[in-house]
Amino acid sequence: MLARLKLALDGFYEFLQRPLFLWSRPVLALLVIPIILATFKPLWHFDFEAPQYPKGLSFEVFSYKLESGHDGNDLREINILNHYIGMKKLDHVELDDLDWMPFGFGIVAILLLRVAAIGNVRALVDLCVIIFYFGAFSAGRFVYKLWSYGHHLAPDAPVKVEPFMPVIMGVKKIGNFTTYGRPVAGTYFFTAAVLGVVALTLVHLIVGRIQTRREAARREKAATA
Amino acid sequence: MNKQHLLTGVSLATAVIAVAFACAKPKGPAGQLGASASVKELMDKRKLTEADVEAALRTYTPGGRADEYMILASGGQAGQILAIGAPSMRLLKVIGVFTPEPWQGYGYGGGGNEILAQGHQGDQKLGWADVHHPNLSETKGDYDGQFIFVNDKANARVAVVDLSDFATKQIVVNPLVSSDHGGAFVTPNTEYVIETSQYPAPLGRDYAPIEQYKEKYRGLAMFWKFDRAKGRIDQAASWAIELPPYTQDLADAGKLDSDGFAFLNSFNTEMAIGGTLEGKPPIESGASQNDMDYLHVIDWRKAEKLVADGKSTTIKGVKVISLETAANEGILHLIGEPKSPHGCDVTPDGKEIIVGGKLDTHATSYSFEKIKKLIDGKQYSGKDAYGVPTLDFQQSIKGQVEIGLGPLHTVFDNKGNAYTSVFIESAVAKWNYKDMKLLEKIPVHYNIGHILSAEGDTVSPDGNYVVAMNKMSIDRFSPVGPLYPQDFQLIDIEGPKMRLLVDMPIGIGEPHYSQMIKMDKLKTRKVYPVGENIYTGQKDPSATLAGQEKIVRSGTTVDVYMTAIRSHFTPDRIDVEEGDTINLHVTSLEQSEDQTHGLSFNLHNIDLSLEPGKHENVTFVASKAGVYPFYCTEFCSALHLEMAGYLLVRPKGTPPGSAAAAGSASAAPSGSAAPPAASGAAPKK
Repeated sequence: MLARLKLALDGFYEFLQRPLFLWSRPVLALLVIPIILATFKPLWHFDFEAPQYPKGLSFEVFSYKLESGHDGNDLREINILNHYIGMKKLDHVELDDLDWMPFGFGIVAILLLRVAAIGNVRALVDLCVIIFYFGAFSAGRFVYKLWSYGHHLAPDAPVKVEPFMPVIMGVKKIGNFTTYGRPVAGTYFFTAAVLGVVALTLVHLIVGRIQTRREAARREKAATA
Repeated sequence: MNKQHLLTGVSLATAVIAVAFACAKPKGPAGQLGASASVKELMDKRKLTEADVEAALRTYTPGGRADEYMILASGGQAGQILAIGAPSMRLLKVIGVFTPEPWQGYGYGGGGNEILAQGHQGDQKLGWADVHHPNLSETKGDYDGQFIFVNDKANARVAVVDLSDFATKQIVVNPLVSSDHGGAFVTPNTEYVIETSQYPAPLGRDYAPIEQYKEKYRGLAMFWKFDRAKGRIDQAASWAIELPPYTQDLADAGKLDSDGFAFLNSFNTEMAIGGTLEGKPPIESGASQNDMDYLHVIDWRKAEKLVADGKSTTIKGVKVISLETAANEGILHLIGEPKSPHGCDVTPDGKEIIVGGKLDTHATSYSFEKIKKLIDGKQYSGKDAYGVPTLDFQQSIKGQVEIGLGPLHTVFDNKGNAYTSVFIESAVAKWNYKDMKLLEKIPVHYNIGHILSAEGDTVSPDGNYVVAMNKMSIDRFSPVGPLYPQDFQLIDIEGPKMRLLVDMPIGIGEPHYSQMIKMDKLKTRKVYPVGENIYTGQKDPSATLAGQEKIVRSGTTVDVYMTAIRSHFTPDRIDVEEGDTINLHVTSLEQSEDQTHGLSFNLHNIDLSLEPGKHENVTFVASKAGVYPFYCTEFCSALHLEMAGYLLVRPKGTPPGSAAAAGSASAAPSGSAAPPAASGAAPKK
C-alpha cells in the first residue's frame, strides 16, 4: 500500500519536474499582454442616473487610479453628494489598494515570463495558484471596500441612511439615484489571463496523467514480460 | 382674402397639422382625422387661425432643444444687454453691463464693482446707461462669437462683454465727448470699435457758451483699439478724429470692397441750438430746415497712419486728428444725404451704403466705387464751412428707392434684398438693392425703430429671420400700467411673402439695435476653473482651495479666505470688532454645471454670485456692532437653507468670546473672564 503511494508520489514529483510542452511556453509569454492591458485599462465602471443629472455621472476604477466623466468632475460631484450621507471620500487616499494593485499585476507578469523561461510544470502550478489567489484577493478587497464605504457612514452626517451595500454588478436604486456597476476591459483581460494559465495547467495535468498511466502500463507490461 | 387663398390656407394648415400629429398618433382609419379634429377644437377654443397655428409651429421650441439663433439686444435705459433665443423669442439672460445686476452679483461688492467703477465719471457713480447698439466682434466681416461691444449714449461709454461667459470685462469712458450714438460698431476684423459723438460740445468736456457753438463745439469719431488677445480695449492705442459740430448719428464700417472706410451720417447740419424760452425755434425745427445733411466718409486706414506719423494733437490723453488735418489730408469727406437721415448701413458685399432719410421717403444707396473715384480724383463739389471737401450727391449715389414715410435702418438677406424699418408707417419694407425695386411691405406694431436680420450686417447674412424692434405695443399685450412694454416681432423672410410669427414683450427698457448670431458660433464656458477671477481671466492670487481656509487678522484688517461648496461655507463664523475692515476672499469649489451659490451679507449691500469655480474679493467695513447672518442666495441643494454662517461684530473694545460683549441682559457670571490674549490675539502670518 505504502509502496503504491510512494510510487504515485514519485510519479507526481517526476511529473512536476517535467518540461512544459514547447508550444505552451510562447503562449505563457503572450499571456503577459492581457496582464499589461489589465494594468492600464479600466477594471470596473459605475454609472449614476438621477433627474437633475441629465448627462449622468460615471467613474471607472483602474488598477492604479480612479477616473471619472466630465473631465474628472463626476467623482468630485459624487463625493459632494456622498458627504450628505457621511460616506468616506472615493479617492486615491481612501482607496489605497490602488498603490499596490499595479505592482501585483507586475509581479504576475514577471512570474508568467519566469514560467515561460524555466518551463517546467512545477513553476506553472505555482503560477496558477498565485494568479488565482491574486485575482480572488483583489476581487475580495474590492467587494470589502465597497461594503466598508456603505457601512462606515459618519454618525454626524446631515442625512441619515441605513448602512447599505453599494452596487457592484447590475442595478441598484439609492435615494434619487439609479446606480449601475459592471466589469470592463481590464477585468476581462485579467480574467482571460487567469483562465489561460488555469487551462494550461489543466492541460498539463490531464495530459501528464494520461502519459503517466500509459508509462506505468508500459512498465507493468515490460515487468510481466 | 378670396376663396382660392382661403382654400390654400386651410389645406396648408391641415397638412402641417397632419404632419405634426402623424408621428404622435397611431395610424388608423380615423387617426389623422381624429388628430386634426382635436387640434381644430383647440383652435376654436383659443380662437386661433390657421396662420396662428403655423406661426406657432414655426417658432415653438420644446424644452431641452436649443434655439437656432441668439439675439443680443440692447437693454435701453436698463443699461444691460439681453440674450434672447430665436425663433422661440425666449429671454435667456439679462447681462449686467453698465447697471448693477444683483443676480449676477455685479456691483454688489465683488469684482463687478471695479468694472462699474471704470465707468464712473468723477464724483458721478453712474448707475445706469442708455444702451444703444450692441455689436458682435467680427473676423473677416463675419461674426466670430467672441465678444460683444455696446455704447452708452447718455454718458459716452463703451463696454466689452466676453461671450465665453457672458460677463462684462471692461468699460471705457470717452473723455472727449459727453454723449455718443454711432457706436459701438466694429471694423471687419475688430481692429477698432467705432464710437461717434451725438450732441456736439467742446471736446474734452470743457465749457464754452452755446453762442460759440460753431467755433467751439465739435463732433468726434473715436476709434477704440481692440486687443483681441487680451480681450480688452487698449485705450493708449486708441485715437479720434475731430468732426464739425453737425449732430453725428449712426455709423457703419465698410467691408470687403469698402474695408478701411467708415461711414456715418449726421443731422442738424443747420447747427441749430434751440432757445425755446427765448422764443427761438426748438432744435427739432431748427435742425430740419435743410433738405440735405451730410454723410461722413472716413478713411480710417489713412487716419491710422496719420496718428502713427504723429500728425495728431493730444486732448485729455487721447490722440486727436484735428478737423483741419482731417480735411487737408483727405481722410474726411462729406456727401449730401436726404433730410434728417438715420440709418447708415453697408451692404453685405461692401459695395453700397444705404441711408434712410427720416424726413424723406427714400432709401438712398451710395456707391462706394463712385465715392472712391471722386475722392481719388479729388473731384470735389466744394467745401463745407470747416473746409471739409464735399462730394456731389448725384455723382455719389447708385439710386434711390421710394420706401415710405420715415425709413430708418436697413438690414439684409442672402438674396440681394434689403429690409428697411419704416418708422412713421409702422412697417418693414422689403426691397431689392440690386435692381432698386420695392417688393413688399408688412405692417408691424408699432413705430418700428431698429431692425435686425439673422447675421444681417455681416458679409454673409442668413436670410431667414428679421426682427422688428417696435417702440410701441399699444394693444399687443396685457396691460401693465401706463409704461408699456416694447415689442420685438419676429418675421419669417424665407418664403416669397414676409410672415409675422411672434411678438415678444420687452419689459426692461427701450432696446435700440440688436444682432442675431447663429447659436453654434458661441463657444460658451460651462464652469470656471477653480479660483478664477472672472474680471482678470486669471487664477486669483487669493484663490482658496479646500483646506486652505483661514482668517488672518492684522490690526483692524481681517482677511477671510473662504470656500463655498454644497452646502457650507468654510469658515462659517467670522468674528470681528466694530470698525474692522474685512477683506473677504471666497472661492467656489464647485465644478458641476449650473451649481451656483450666492453669498450675501445682510445689511451690508453685499451679494455675490459664485458660479462653479468663481473667485470673488470683497472689502467692506463692519461699521456697526451686531450679528449678521450670511447665507447662500441660490437654492443650491436640499440643505441650501443650512448653507449659512454668522458675521459677529463685537462692540468696539470687546474681546472676542467675551460674554460682556453680549450686553447686560445676558451677562453670565462665569466664562466671561477669558483674558483677551486667550483667543483675541489672532495668529499672525
